[in-house]
Amino acid sequence: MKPLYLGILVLTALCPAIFAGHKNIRLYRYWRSMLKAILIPSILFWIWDSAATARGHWGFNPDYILGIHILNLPIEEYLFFLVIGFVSIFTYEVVKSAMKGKA
Amino acid sequence: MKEYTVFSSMAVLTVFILDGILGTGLRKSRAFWIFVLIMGLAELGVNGFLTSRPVFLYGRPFISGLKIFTIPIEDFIYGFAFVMLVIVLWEFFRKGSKSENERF
Repeated sequence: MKPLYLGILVLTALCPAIFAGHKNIRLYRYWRSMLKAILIPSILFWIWDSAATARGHWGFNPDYILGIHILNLPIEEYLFFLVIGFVSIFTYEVVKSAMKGKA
Repeated sequence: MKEYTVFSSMAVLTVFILDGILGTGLRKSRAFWIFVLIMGLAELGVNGFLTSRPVFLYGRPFISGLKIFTIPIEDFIYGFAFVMLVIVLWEFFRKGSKSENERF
């Protein structure tokens, strides 16, 4: 099942990507802030991830990844941080929106 | 040395300091901690699945060995540092952008 890791990432991003445009949060209006808030941490964690993988802190089971690497990381791992960053902002904004008037 | 344990803990500390420096005040925000709880539960499911296959393999000398189901606790610390950094920067950049619509 080589596409397993990629598949989990796509499933994780799907729901937030669809509802990010919902009128109560309208996330895509802030795409510039969103891009910066996702990319800066992602770049830092790509570097950390790459160094940690090289040192043997962790590794990736070749049975569940496509096998395409950039440097020593599978492409899924680059996508991972972008997806989690996006899902984080989405979830945080949903919580804020739900708490409006109650906090 | 338990490098993963040490580095991920240091990352969390750094992000807390950044939250203070940038004045984003997430430490004191109820919405933020509810968000952390939701993300933690999501990680239990998703990372629980990924570590049980296992998709990820861990270097034993570098982790404490403490786990929640199949997930090393370091993954929670590392994940927390990442998502908190994202939200710190998100709040920071949002405050800085005057216009409601960020035009292309």
